[in-house]
Amino acid sequence: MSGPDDDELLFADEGSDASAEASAAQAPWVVLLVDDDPAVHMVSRLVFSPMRVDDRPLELLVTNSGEEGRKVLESRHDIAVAILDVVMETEEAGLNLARWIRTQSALNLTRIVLRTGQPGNAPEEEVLRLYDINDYWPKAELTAARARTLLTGQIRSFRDLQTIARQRADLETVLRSMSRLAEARGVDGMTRDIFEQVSMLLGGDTPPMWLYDLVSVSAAPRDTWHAFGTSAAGAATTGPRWDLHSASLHSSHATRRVYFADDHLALFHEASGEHGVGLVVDAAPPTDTWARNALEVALRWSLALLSARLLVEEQRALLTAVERFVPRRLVRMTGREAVQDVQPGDHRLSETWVVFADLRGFTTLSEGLGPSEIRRTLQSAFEAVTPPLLEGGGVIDKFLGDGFLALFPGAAPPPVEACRRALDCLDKLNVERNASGLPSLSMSMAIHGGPVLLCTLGDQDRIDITAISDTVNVCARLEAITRDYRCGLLVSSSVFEALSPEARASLRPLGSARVRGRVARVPVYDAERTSRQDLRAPAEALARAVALVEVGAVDEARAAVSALADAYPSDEVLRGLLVLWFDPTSSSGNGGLR
Amino acid sequence: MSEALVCYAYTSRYRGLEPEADLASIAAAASRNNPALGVTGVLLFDAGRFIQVVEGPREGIYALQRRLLADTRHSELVELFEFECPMRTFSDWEMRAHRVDTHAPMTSPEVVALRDAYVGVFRPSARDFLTLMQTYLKSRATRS
Repeated sequence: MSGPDDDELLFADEGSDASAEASAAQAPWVVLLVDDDPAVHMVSRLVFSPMRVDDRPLELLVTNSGEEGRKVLESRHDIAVAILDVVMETEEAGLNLARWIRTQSALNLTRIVLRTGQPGNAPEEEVLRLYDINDYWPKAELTAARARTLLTGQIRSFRDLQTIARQRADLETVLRSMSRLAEARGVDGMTRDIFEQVSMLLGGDTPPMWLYDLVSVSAAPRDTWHAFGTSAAGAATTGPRWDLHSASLHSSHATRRVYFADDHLALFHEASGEHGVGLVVDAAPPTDTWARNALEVALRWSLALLSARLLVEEQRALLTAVERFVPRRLVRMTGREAVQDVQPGDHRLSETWVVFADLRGFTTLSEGLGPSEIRRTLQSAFEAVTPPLLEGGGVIDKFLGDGFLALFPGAAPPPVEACRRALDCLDKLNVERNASGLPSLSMSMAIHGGPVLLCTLGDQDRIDITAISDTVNVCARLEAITRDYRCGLLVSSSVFEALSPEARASLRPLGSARVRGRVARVPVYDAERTSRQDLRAPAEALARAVALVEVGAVDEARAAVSALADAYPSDEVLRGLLVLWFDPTSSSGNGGLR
Repeated sequence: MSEALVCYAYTSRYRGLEPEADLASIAAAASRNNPALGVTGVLLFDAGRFIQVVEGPREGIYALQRRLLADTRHSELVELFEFECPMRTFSDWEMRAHRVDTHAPMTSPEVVALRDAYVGVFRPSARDFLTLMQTYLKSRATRS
């Protein structure tokens, strides 16, 4: 008799049974047979069940009618091929089911094969034209071997479509997450998006992942973001991993590609110089080339976007820091748009409102204070008074000990209201200070307008923006004599003349002041706030006194001011004038008569 | 080959007393005679039952059929099919004999029913029918 090895037809695959069982864990290709003939069921089982395609077995589902077939198709999404008989419960049950699969169901990958015993019921060409089916098997022409060949072909088509669908899904994931990354606002949001993207490309689980902001691939990271992962293993690997990751990032840096190890992957993206961003994912990388390429493209662009964002954030922080030293408004006033454009020698002459402010008696006040208390007191005072000035369009040119110099564009009205609001803010601060048992702070301010030359002085290494002008000098002197006038806000005639008639009404004339270093006297006005109009001598009364002084009627003037001082005992300005104008022993004499 | 090829299959019951010896002599006779007739195919012996599937020119198949009718080692011969086929599916097999020896041998009606179902579903081919039979016997063995 013949031995078993003589006949491959009958015995050849007995040996392969073991391998079939070994790979039984492999998901089978699911084939659905819809036919109302039990003989077809039996023979089809015998013919198709032993098949293997790409080393995967077949699972043959069998139903007896179009309706039963539809129920199975509704409940499963993994059917590779549906083999449909045409005539079942109705003449066209198979055709209707084919149409339903293509138009109603979500099974757009399932291959449809129409099998017919009576081609008259469903002529091949017409059926192919009218229905979106993939093959047509006339019973009379088909041998079992041929049927297996055709079925194998259909299963492979399904396999390829599945691959394409999976790749398209990957691509969509990449595109969606890239556009989300491009729109992401903060660095933290971006790192979250990148972790999510990696999870999706790796099939949904979140492995432990690390993102590093690196000065160089060798140095310890400046910043680390971490996704702990959803697996139990992830929770156990939260410790510092930098030593392990550094080697993998080095490998990636050397090849300029994603480094795929057996159990993790790493990518270093070099942004500029050696500075860059690193990503390490503690998960086995995908094995197929497409998935690796998709991951590579996605990660490279993601890290490029992230490092660009980190660079922008760094520059923004730097610019913010620079602008605290050199305010942007001040830069603009020199004729440049941005601080990086400023050159030594830049200058611009323009009409400018100059404000000098000074904390009165601060030297005395600070005698009993330590350095840090002095700093805190100054800080709180400046923080209180500068916001209204900035809101009013001004810029603080310099802080000068217990005072500061502010500049306002000359094209705008003089900043009288801004200065008044600043003084209001100091009053509010004083309420708080008094509540904590601290003495009130008092600030005096002066405003003067005129041409100011704003220029950058210095060399290539160190430059400063400086206001050089007689206007600044005069303003400084005016601020100095506010003490003599006992007035908190003293303004020059340049301010008075630039104001609207209504605004002028809130100013009180104080005559002409002699300013040190100048021949011409400067008419000055008291511009202090007018919350208690009834406690102050009216402007008209003061104007009359000033007129008397100016024509030399000293006695009449003194009588007028004394009378006003009696009528308004809390009007400090009147006491100041009495000393300034009429007391020959007064050392100041700035506003004095001659 | 200009002459039409015929595929022929039958099943019959073994009547002899020494299956080992008989099968050996049948196989020897087949390999001696069939090349001259141009007949190729497979002879299955399943616990007392023959199933033979052969292909060859019409004259060769007729000669084989005459000899089968005269052979006393078997009886109850039932023809399964006889049809013209376009090409040989056992071209390189002169004749092979196999003992299948399933636990419960197929009965004649069982073989005929299988033949009927097969022929109703597919265009018959000698090789396909044997493969089908093999799968059937195997699934039968796993079931029992």
